[in-house]
Amino acid sequence: MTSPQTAARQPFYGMLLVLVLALGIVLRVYPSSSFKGVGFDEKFYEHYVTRLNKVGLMQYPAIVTEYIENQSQLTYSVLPPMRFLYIFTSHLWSVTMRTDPMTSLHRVACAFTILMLLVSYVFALRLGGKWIALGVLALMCCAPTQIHMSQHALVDGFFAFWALLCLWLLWENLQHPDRPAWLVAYGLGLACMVMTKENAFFAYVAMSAIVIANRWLAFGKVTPRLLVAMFIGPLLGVLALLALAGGPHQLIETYHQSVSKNYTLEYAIKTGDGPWHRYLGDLLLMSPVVFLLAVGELFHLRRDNRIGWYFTLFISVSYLIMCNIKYGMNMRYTNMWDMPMRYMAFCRLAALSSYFERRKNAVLVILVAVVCLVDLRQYWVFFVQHNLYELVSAYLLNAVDILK
Amino acid sequence: MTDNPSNAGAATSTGYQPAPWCGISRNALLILLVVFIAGASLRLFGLPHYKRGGYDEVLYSTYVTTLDAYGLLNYPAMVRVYIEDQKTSPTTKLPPTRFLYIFMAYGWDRLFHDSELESLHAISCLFSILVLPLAAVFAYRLGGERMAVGTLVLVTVSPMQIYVSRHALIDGFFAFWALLSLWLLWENLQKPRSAAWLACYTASLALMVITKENAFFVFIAIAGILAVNRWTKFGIVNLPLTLCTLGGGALGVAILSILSGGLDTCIETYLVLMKNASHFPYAIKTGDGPWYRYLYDMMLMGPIVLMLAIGAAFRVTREKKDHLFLLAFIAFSYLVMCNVKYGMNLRYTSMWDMPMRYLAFWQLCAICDSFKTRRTLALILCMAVLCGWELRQYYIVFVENNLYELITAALTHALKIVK
Repeated sequence: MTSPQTAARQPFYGMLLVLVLALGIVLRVYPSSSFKGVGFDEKFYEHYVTRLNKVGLMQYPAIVTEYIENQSQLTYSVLPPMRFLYIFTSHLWSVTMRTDPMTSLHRVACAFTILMLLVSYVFALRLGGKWIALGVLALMCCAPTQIHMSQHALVDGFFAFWALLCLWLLWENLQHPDRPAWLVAYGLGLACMVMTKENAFFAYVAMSAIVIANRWLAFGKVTPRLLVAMFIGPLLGVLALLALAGGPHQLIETYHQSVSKNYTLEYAIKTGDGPWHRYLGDLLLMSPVVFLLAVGELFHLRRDNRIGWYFTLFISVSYLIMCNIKYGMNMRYTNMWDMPMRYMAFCRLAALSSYFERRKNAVLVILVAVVCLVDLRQYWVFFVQHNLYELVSAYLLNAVDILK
Repeated sequence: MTDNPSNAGAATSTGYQPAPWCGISRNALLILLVVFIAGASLRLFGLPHYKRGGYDEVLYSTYVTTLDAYGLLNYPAMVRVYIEDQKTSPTTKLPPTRFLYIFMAYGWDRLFHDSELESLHAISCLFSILVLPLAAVFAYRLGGERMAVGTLVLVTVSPMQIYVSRHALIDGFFAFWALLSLWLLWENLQKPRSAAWLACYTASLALMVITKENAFFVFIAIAGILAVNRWTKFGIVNLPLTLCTLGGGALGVAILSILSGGLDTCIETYLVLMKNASHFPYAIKTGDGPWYRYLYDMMLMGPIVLMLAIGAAFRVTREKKDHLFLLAFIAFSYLVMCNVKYGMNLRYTSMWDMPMRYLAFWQLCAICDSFKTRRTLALILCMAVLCGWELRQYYIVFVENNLYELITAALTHALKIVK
């Protein structure tokens, strides 16, 4: 039974939730970025959506063939059409809303960063309850990289949504073994993630590591059906890509061209290199307070903190692969860590505020508000004041006046 | 502040028991000795071989030459020349009020008949070696022999500490005095009204003040520690300690005033320095950034130690006086240092090396404790990896890329983050 006090708090909570969510949506929908041009990647996405609008889905293999032919002539790498789901979703948006390809790509990216907020909220709600969910949602609303992704026609926010969705669904499957609905949803989530971007590999390996580590860290129950779903889901994604590419040879050639040319792309060599701790530095530059809090929480983890380990494992295993990609480091790829990092940061804030005993709730609210403001200021510095589009370290350092 | 006679000698009332002087085991002493020898060798014979003089080094060497030629009594003239020069010069030169370093190098020069630059380098090297036993003793008094060994090992391989020993730069020398003052403050907090500790502390503060302007940051940090002692209860803050803190600083300023030829000249020296530094293109280009710039720089130089130290910082409780003390020192000095416009440089953080490594080692111990029966083995392995990593960082940054100035642009370039 709900106590009168709790009942009185229900509308208050609902109101807060709506307010925070509305803030997050406004921050994403309002065109705040001062970079109004069209980026290198955006041009290619636009081209693919235009082609798809023109030739239709059945002719997708022709688009792939065209890419392979063009790519083999080029000395540098351009993004492949195998990032199908983003292109296809934008195509659908373009057809149904009658908007031009660039606008469609942008709207889809924006819509999925908003959906990311909802997934973050639901995931956090399932993990820690409604107040933690609200706190994580507030932090996610103000995450600079999330807002940045909503402002441009880039795949990374879109991909982060699918990666986070899969991470959540894996958690649900571990808690509720052999539930068909959760299994199907997870399998489909994985298939969609694979069809979105090659980075699915990082997320998939990280999720596999979670499943392996479950033996010791006891996140939940790993059943044969879960393993089958984990196998069939990505397989479906790969099969779909095979069909879209027009055969295995075409698909392999696409990735081969994309990866091998990336090693000779001057821009990648110039901006994607660095030591393993480059991402740590980039994360620190972007959201210093969230980063510090998340690191603090990491070192507070006890063996029985299943949620903490779950996120730590996801971030660290994907980090391990991502930091070993030669000339392939870019802060945009860390979007999928935004929610896990903020969950951990919020936990640390909650622990810090608990020192204040009677006033801990008020202190926690103030602390969350301060972290949100710091993050919003960071967004303003990087993306409004300094007009940033690409999240390479040199530009980040330049924006905060460390490099001049 | 507490100045209650009933508190005298009652350091244990704060709940903290410093490690006894004679409590260290023979094995621990042996390990400390071996590590110290390794550390001293790294500083004396490590790569890169000392070759040339940088901008600052040449200036120090000029001061030593002048001191050699005109003697100590003509020091005020040297300060006046500096002020006159700085009033007209568009560049910023380091002031002769960094007296102790210059004077020590002069003494070395007279004693061993080395060149000025070699004498300066020898002093830097000597004091970065002296930091090792100081770090070990301080860590021992704070946390016992395990902490002493662990901290010494980490300080030994600290890239920054090796770097400052390889050049004729003041920062390692200054770090020694800052760390000495911090340790002596700790001892005085534990043993109030001990004349010997108070005298040492006062002298150390005075010597720190006559070493470098950065003494201000340390002084603020010490003042901060004394101010928060009411709540954190590091030890006992009494009137003699407060007076000695102020007296030590005042003594340093008095010495500098005498050397400068008057307090007004001394103040003018710093005013001229600050004024020029704020317009100096090199400082504007390399010393700017947000409050977390030092964190970023430290992340580039020693990410594992930094992460471990951050982890330890978040695990600090009121009961862990040693952690809280070191953390307070870093936090208060950081607060001032990150607010100096165009005045941020990773070199200035060499005084945090020992406190950070103490925290990092403690965090590492906490992690390895989860291995229960194999915790010692795990700790040794972790330390070996960490030391190997730190030495590799040193090699990449200072040997392979031959870095002299620790500015972010050069660091990111050395690590191939920015090309």
